[in-house]
Amino acid sequence: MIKLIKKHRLALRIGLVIIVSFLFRFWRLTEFPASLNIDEVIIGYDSYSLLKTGRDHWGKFLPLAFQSTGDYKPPILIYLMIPAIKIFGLNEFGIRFTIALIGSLTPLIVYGLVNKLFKNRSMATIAALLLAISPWHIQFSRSTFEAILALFLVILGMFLFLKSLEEKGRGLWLAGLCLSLSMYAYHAERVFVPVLLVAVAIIFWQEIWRHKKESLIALAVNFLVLIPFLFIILSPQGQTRARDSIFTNDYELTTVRLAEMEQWSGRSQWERILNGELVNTFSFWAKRYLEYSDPRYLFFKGMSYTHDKFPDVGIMYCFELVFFFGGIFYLMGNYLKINKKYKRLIFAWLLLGPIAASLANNSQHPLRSLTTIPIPQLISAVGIYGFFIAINKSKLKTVFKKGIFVLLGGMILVNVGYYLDIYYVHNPVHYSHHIMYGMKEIALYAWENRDKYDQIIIDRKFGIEDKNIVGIPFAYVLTYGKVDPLVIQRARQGNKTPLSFENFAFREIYWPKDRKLKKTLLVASFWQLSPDTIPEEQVVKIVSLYDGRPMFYLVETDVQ
Amino acid sequence: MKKIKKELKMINKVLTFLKKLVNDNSFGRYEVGLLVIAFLGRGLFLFNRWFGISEYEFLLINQKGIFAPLCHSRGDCFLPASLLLINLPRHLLRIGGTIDVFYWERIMMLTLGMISLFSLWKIASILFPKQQLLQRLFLAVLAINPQFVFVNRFITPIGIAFSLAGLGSWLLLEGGKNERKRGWIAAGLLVLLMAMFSSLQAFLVVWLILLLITAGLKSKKVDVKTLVGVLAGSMFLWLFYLYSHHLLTIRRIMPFLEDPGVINAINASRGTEINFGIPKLARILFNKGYYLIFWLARYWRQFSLSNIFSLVENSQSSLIIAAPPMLLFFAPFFVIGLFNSFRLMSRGKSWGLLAITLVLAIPTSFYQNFFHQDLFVFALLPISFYVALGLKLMEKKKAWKWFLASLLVVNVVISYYKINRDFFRSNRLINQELYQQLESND
Repeated sequence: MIKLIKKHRLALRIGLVIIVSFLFRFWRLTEFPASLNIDEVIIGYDSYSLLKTGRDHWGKFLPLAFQSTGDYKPPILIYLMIPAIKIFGLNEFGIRFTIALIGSLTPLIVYGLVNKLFKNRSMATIAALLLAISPWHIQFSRSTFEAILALFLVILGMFLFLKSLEEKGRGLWLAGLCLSLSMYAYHAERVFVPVLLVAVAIIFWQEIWRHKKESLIALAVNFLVLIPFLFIILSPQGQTRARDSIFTNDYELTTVRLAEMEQWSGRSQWERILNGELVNTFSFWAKRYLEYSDPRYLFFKGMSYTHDKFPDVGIMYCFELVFFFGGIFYLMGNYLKINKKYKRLIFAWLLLGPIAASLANNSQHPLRSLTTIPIPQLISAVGIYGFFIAINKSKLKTVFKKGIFVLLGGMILVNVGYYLDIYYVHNPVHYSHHIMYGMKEIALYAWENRDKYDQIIIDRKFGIEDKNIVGIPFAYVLTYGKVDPLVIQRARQGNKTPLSFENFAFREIYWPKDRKLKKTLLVASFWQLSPDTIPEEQVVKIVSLYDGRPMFYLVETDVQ
Repeated sequence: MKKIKKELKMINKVLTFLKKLVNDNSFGRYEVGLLVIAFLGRGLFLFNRWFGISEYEFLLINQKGIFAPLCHSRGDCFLPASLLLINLPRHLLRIGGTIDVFYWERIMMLTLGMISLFSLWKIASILFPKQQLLQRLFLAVLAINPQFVFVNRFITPIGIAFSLAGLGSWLLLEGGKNERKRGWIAAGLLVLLMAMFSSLQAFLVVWLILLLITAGLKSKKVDVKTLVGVLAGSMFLWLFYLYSHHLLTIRRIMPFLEDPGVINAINASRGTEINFGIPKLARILFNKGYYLIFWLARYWRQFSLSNIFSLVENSQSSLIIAAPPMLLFFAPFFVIGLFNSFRLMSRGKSWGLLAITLVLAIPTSFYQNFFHQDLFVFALLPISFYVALGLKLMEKKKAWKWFLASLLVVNVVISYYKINRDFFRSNRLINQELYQQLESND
């Protein structure tokens, strides 16, 4: 048995990584997250629309930037999702399958990357397993987030780059291709990849120079691939996303700091410079960037699954805190055999990872800072590996050594169990309204009963704590009703405001006025259709949030 | 030329005299220069009313008596021993009057600040004896960094504790190095003095542990009896002091234990778990043990680079409100220094000790409102040392020198300008009108 295990050690390692990775990403995938969020539903429907008509729901033929909800989404994922939608249908599983699959495969690439860097399979296995159980990566792999695909391409690109260095530059163009494609996959990579490439060029300039021919081919391939991309980002539509999400639009900077700046504008030129836009904007950006080093965000509260002060999970596990610093200790202390340039690459990636996220308008954004993966896991893996080696080399009795390993294993299991509890039990209770919980029920009811009414009006605004969450109920109706894409394409081309198709309309509801409408179903939040003012018999359905609090009222007018 | 040579000779003579005085050959013109810069930073416009008065200065002046008790809003009053200490000589010299008290206290504070600076440099020279450039850079960071400058400028229990802690640690290290009991006893007494503040109770425990470790590491032959005796004696007196002032409760030391938000969070999480159908897990996962995780998160959060190098939330209650605890310029050097210190740990115990000193941030983490920028000044010491190490590693990159120096100058100018601009917005300072009123009453 032991011989067999030893013989197939590599297969077992990879098998373990695959099983853990798939298990954490596919188990009850359709139920958790508790609802498809805005992005998932619109991406899924655009993919369905492409499958059926070759056009997005706006009617654009094979677009490279999807207008979507006005944010011009990157294209690759939407095209990649077509086979899954075709096979599994337009439902939660069909929509989530592609990203869950890509997310499950990413730890395998990390295994390859870490093995290339350290030439150490044990360390590679630990790093891959850490990514397989990472709350940070699992969270976005279980929902349809383009960032997971982009991350996969970046890691694959870097793996192929390191591989090509070992093979006299062969396949360098493929590495370049992956990195270029990642820029089509998610916005953050559009900033991160060029910066990472500059760092790579500085660190490996000798190797790149040595393989001039291959490097030039890679450059040419990149250039060709990126030509359409340049047109996209230079177009007004392509710049929409950047314009909307850049940190200079942040509330804190625009209102507080700039108001303060204006206060000093009447002073001397020196004072105007010292209180000027450049100084304030730079210090604000620096703060945003440095916030990604916050240990509370990294190890305790970064995922924000629950409200403030509630038990939560960081983007890394608590137990990784010790091993992360231990990993830096081992990396810096020359205890490991690693090429100095690889070491520089690791630290450069770690520092550049949050660059794109820091330039956007929210602080500590786990999704946008995904670009840092897999470096934190890699460093923690080095720490764990170093710890194992240190304990094994120590003069402790075997029983104690085993005891320490059991204790460590127990600690990791408890930590992972705690995360799963927070994710599956507590997160839906705290934030179900943020992921549009209830919209599915509304969409299904409205679609199935559409023939009963002349009109169905659904309000876009809802929310309990924040009463102005703006949803896209039309996309839920389209998805759960599996509405023919031609219907919405025609409605979009007609440019109707507010949006309407068939007997559905999506606009704000004003009860005193709308109550007079004939044979109409009104769908809105409890504060819009107050139960105190509406006769009980007119309420046909109450849709509650995950925690049971009533959220939406479905009210019919003109009851006979 | 002759005149210059004469003057240089004079400077050399002064330096030789100072070297003898401090009994250290590494004390040279650079160190003197840095101390002069530090003195100017701390002493310039010291008596200018434009700089405001801290709440502690005001309380003493307002009462017109020396031993005016300090009262918290929650009703308990106590005598800050440090204020008694620095006012005692004035009382003996019979210097009176409101404004005279103010002048006296600031002069005393400045003197203590300079002594602490020197003590900290000495500590660096004992811990890292062969690294003169590192010691100098550490002194330079202490000399120009705004948080250190302003902690030394005003009378606050933290400022006095900071100075006494520096001096006490140096004496203890010297005592350990030379096997002198006197040093240890003096250090113990200083620690006791430092501990006589209600807001710094928790700090003492951390400090005592550190002193034990430091003495153990540096002593050739640890006289455990003396060491433990001195520290236990200090501890006993401190506990007696706290007991007599009804300050000895865990909840007072760690107010976040009574935070209703945390208590509600535990109870609500339990409820969710029970509703989900796993009541047994509810008690196992969500209980008072969560306080430990909550506190750990608070402790580590303090080390976010954004807290140390960029403007902090709730900074209104600190001495400087328009600048971060450390200059932004130092941020990359801190990271470089910290990472490289891991490499150096195998070369000597001192680097390991430096990492341990990060526990100095424990008391700050106990405060209910995150985060206490002034008290964090203790934890800024090891951070400054990492910055110094990061700066030292740039030594060979001469092409960068002038560029970096100009960046530092820009950062210093902007920071001090902003501190001065917003000084009166600090909650710790009383307004100018009150000051004028006091001056006219005097």
